[in-house]
Amino acid sequence: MLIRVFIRKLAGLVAFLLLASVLIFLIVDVLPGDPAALMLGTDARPDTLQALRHQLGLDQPLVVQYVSWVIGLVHFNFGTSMTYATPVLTLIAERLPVSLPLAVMSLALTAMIAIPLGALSAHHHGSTLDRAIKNGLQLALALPNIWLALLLIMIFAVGLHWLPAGGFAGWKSGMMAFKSLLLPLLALAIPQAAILARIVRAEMRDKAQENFVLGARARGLSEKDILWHHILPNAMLPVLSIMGLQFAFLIAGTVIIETVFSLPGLGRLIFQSITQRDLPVIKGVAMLLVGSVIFVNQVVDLLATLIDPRLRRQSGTSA
Amino acid sequence: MNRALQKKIMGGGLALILLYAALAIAMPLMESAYQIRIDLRLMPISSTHWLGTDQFGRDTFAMVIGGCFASLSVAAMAVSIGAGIGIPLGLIASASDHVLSRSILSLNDFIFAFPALVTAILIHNIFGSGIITAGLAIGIFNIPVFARTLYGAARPLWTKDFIKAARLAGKNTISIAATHILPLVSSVALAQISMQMGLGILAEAGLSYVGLGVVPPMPSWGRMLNEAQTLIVIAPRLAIIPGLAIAASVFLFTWIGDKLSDYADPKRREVNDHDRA
Repeated sequence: MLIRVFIRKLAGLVAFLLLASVLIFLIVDVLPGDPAALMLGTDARPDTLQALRHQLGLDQPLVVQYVSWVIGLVHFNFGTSMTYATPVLTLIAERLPVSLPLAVMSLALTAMIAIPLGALSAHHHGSTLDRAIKNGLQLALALPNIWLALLLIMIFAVGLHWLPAGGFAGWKSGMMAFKSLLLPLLALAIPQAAILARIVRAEMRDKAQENFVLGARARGLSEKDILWHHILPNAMLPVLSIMGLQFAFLIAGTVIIETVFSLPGLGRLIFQSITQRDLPVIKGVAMLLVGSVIFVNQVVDLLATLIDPRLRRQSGTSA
Repeated sequence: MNRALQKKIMGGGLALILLYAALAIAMPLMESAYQIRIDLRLMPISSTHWLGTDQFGRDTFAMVIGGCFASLSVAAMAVSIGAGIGIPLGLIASASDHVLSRSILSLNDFIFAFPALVTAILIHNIFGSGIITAGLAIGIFNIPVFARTLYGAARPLWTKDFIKAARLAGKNTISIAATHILPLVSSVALAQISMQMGLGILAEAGLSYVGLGVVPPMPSWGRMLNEAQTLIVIAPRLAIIPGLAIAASVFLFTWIGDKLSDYADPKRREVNDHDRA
């Protein structure tokens, strides 16, 4: 049974990735017309155009172009950047040490803020503390992460000089590297944590009404015990799937926040390639971002199925 | 919270939304105020320039009002796409058999993998930067949001007795969906619309900040944040003001969305009433 669930998820993952590759290929390579003309501008000489078309393989049928791109992807060959004349994957690999930790750490920080805060609010529901947390969350949810980033820069970089206002000296710089990522992490995590904490609170309030809680209380367990060992674990499943969805927001947020703090991550690569119309890079990075969101959500789905046996029978329809 | 107070809050919220719409429509009237006037650059707050001017001499107050237009039109376009496609999809999925409903839900999961930013990057070559790119990119991501919410709200209704009665009375699925299901889930849809308007404003600010959204000369709050960043030491107000405008608008829409969804879900309303008691 478990193996079948696993195989089904794997098949879903492959199908989604293939569908995404078709869409990205169509949108970037086919719909805008002639990619070579797009990359070189309107006043390009015909022979240069022809040479670039040949170099990009644009003189071949669309199906051949698509298939060779996908075969390349499978072999970790994302093509070659036009601006850098470097393999796209090398460019991505150079920037991942900034973007990946930023995205993963911001998701972790989101959970670290949201779960205790939501649990606290749910546990003391109806109290002044709960109301204060709820209003605070409603406010934090509305904060644009760019603005939050600028405010953090004003306070902690310009005002107090505690942390750098931007830039990244590489992981070899040790403590400095961590300091450079602290403000971007906070700017990313705080609004997302507000969203997640509301879900944690709602789910815990929901679960608190269920019979197993009543049963636990009847068995004489303390309220603290019930909260941590009965309500919280049961509320985690929907929270986990929301976190999977938040990963998409954090990926997008990371790219934008990297720009605010001038971090040498994927964000800079993306926006450079957009201005340069470096289509192989755009396709490669888009595929990477979409692929990672698909991957994370399938893993979350699989985890949910492993945790909750009830989902196994109807797996696939679950979020 | 009692019903009368709730109605007052709703009324106040709607009035504020109308105010926003009026401000957005007033945008063209402001156009002369945000012309580039280098001689007026970085003027402090005064009676002629209520919020001062920026490094190009444009009146910040006029820019904030003008930015309303970009924010609201992108968010409204995104919500129209999301609700226009997502709501029918969700309803169809809720009414149909295993295979169709599962394919719709899988399609939802798939679209969820395209955050607005990624879609904007992809379609930028086709539409360039502007309201269309931003609205489309955010709107596409809104489709699964609406579809899933509506599916969740409508699915349990189909097994209710009054639906069976309607079937016995000879009504077909489409007419049941239109006359019985839709009215019952409309408040859920309305709550989601308000919520997504708020999130759409946030997303537009992000896209415009990185240059994929609204481009000059059209004023945009996200763009204002971008332009203010280099002046953060000399003129922090230029960064603070547009951020406040975004936060206030997003707060307004998400808050009304919350109130509406409390209203839509009697169970949740009860819980919240209990909370406040």
